Amino acid sequence: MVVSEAFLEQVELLQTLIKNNLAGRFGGTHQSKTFGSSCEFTDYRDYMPGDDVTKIDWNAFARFEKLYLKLYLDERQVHTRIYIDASKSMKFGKGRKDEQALRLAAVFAYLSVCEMDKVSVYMIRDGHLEEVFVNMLGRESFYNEIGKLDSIEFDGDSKITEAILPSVVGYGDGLSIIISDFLTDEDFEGAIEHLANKRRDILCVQVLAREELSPRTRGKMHLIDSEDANHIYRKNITKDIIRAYMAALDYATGRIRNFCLARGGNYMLVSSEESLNGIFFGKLTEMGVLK
Amino acid sequence: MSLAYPLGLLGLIGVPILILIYIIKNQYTEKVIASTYLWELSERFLKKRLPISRIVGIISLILQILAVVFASLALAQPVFTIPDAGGVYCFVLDGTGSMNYEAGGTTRFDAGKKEIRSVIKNSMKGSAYTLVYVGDATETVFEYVSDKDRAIAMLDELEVGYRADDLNKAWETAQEFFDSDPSTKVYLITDKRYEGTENVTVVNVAEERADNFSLSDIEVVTTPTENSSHITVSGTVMSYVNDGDVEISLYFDDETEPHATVPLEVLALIPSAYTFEVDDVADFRAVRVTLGTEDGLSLDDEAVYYNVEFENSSRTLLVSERPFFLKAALIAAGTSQVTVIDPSEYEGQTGYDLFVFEQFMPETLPADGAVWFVNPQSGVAGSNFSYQGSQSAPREGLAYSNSTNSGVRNLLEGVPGAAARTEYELKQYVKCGLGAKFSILLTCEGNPMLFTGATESGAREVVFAFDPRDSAPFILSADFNVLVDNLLDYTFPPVVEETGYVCGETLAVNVVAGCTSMRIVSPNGKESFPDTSVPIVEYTLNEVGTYDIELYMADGSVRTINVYSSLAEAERAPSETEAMRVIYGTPESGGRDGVYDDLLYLFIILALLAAAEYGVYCYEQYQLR
Repeated sequence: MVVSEAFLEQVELLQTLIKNNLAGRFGGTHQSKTFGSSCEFTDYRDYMPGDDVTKIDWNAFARFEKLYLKLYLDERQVHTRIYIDASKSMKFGKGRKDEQALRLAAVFAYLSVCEMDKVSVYMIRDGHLEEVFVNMLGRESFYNEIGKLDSIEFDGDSKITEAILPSVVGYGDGLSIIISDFLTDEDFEGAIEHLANKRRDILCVQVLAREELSPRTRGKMHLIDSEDANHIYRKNITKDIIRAYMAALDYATGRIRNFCLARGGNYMLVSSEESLNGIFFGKLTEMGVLK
Repeated sequence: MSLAYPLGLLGLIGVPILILIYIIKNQYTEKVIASTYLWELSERFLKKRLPISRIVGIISLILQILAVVFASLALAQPVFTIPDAGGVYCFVLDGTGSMNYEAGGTTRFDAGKKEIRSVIKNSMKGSAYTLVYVGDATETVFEYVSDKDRAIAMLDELEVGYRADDLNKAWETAQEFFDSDPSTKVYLITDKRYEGTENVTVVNVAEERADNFSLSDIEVVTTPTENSSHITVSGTVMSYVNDGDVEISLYFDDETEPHATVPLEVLALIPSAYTFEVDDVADFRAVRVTLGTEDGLSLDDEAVYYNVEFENSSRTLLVSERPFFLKAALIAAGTSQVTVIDPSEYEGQTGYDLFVFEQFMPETLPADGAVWFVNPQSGVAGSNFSYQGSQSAPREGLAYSNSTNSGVRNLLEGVPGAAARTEYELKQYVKCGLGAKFSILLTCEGNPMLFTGATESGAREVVFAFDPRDSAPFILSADFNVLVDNLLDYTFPPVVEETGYVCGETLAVNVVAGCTSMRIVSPNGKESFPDTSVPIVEYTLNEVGTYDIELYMADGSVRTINVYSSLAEAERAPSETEAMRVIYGTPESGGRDGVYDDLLYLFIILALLAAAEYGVYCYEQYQLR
């Protein structure tokens, strides 16, 4: 996994846009829709008994002889949870989907620590969620912990819903990023649904190899599924099959996208060979995930 | 259906080979991929296909097999046989002189060939074609040929002749072909008209729109005058189509500008005479008369007369101290160019046709020409006889040979005394020993006294072994004059007896002494090299115009004689009407089995299409990668 420091310095300029009202802890940089104790003034309201008297604007009282309370925006610290699909299918493709997934996870994690947020990275394998590092805070921790990403072994099956549902995902406290190829007929929609119900911001990143986006295989083939050797696709790959494959690809990506968008989430399809610069400063900013 | 080349089907071996290769090579390839999810999902998006579309999977193999099969069939050339659809054709093509008649840039002969070509091309394949050609000779050019291209190729090679020939022999041949197969369709391609025909299709190629003037053979009369000659050239002009005015031009030898011209009004089908009177003509080799008008048949627009005397003239060198008798005898025999020198002046001169040595023997024989020795006083190397001294002749000792040898009889032909066996009085004769075969004409006491033969170099040789001045009764007799005449003919016989011929006649060329080879060049430039080992070369004149006869002599000189071959009178008329042309017998329908083999092209196209489709398929597959 290689992410240049120069690129990380550029990424620092970006900011994650959280859609849901935050319920995170104080001390972060993300502004909550509720009023809090930050320095940023936002409005006045009438004093009500029981309100904090230190928030009364005495200047306004002198002028209007009525008690007004000064309201400030609340800034919260969020918890970014990154789920990496560590199934065997991620190890394929030129440029390697797994490497692209780890690069993306690292940059997302760095972006979060730069925003004073907590970051947890999990890997999904065989229906289990395994922690890579959790509650990482601050850049120093990032540099200490990020190496753990390289220790992830991409092997086995991926059952995203089965892995995420029993886990602690928090409630309204940040962004959940699922990085996977989503090439599975296992249910991943339950996980997205679950995260949405937990008022988490969702970003599904589908990483596909070039061969998967534009297959060049022709002729009589036995295509064996890397995750399940019993899954064999035996066909004479012709022009018609390729057309059908492209239609299936459109269908599959469209299904994920639509599902995510319908639940207020975001979806991004990236190639394993696509540059991080294009992804973060192009696609994600255009989508409004970053600014 | 049959196959023209069944071995072509061996190409079908390629089919099982292709299938074998397909089976061996076209196995499923195993490949581990990230996930088969999308591939399996793609099944839902595959369009429903007709059952026949299952073959799409093996379209590559099918296309290759089709290409191989069609190529094999193309090689095997399937042929459909259609019973009795082919015909049997016998063409009789007139290639005589009148077929040279040209109108609109095409000769009748070419038009005739075009007609035959058209019949052959339009006939069913499998038909048989026979062509009987009447040209310089009547010949069957091809017989029952079924290959159209071959028949047309042989037809195209034919060239029109110039001779006058009737079609009877060809007609007999056609009748034979008809008798052997009564389904034979006989075509006669000619420019002649017929009053009636039966069982024959006459294709008349006569085209009479062009004028046709004809010059008859010219007559040249030479009247000697004091220092030269007066020449009268006369002939007739005939127009076979229209009345017209022509200008007759006269040329001598190689003149390019007319020596004289005569305008002449010619009425159709009426001979119009012309005459040229020319004075002061010293000598001439040829007289040429031309028509100043272009017409359809140019072969008879020129008439040439070659002076036979000029062509046969010879030069004689007489080496003698007292040449009176011999010179008179030679000139009397027609030898006009006699040069006389004294023996002291003889230095081995060359360039003469005859050397006469009287009472003088050169140290060596002349390099060229024939040799006469008169009263030899010694022998000379190569002469094949030896001098054995002078002998007194007994009274009335001279006797003619009674040999029956044809050579001897020819030389004694016309000699009055030879028949009467008259004996002449001589004083002396020279006794000679003969070293080779000589023809002895006269003897004295049994010794040869006048004999002919050849020198070792092959030059003709005559020996008079007596002194003419001592033999006045004989020398002054008619016998001697005739003998000299005969001996001159023997010594240098005329190369040609006449110079005017009609095309088709046979020219006789005497192989004169010293002639080592001969070349005859026809008016069209065709060269012939006849065998000169025979005394007379016979050569048939098949073209119209001037023939060059070149005699290559032993001394390296070349003697050229010209003769003129004119178009036969019968061929000058554009369309002569003849009586009936009948093929006897009852024609039968049917014929040979027709053949339809154009499938060859179909299979070639199909094979190419299959191969091309395979190429496109491969390219598409490559493009999709």
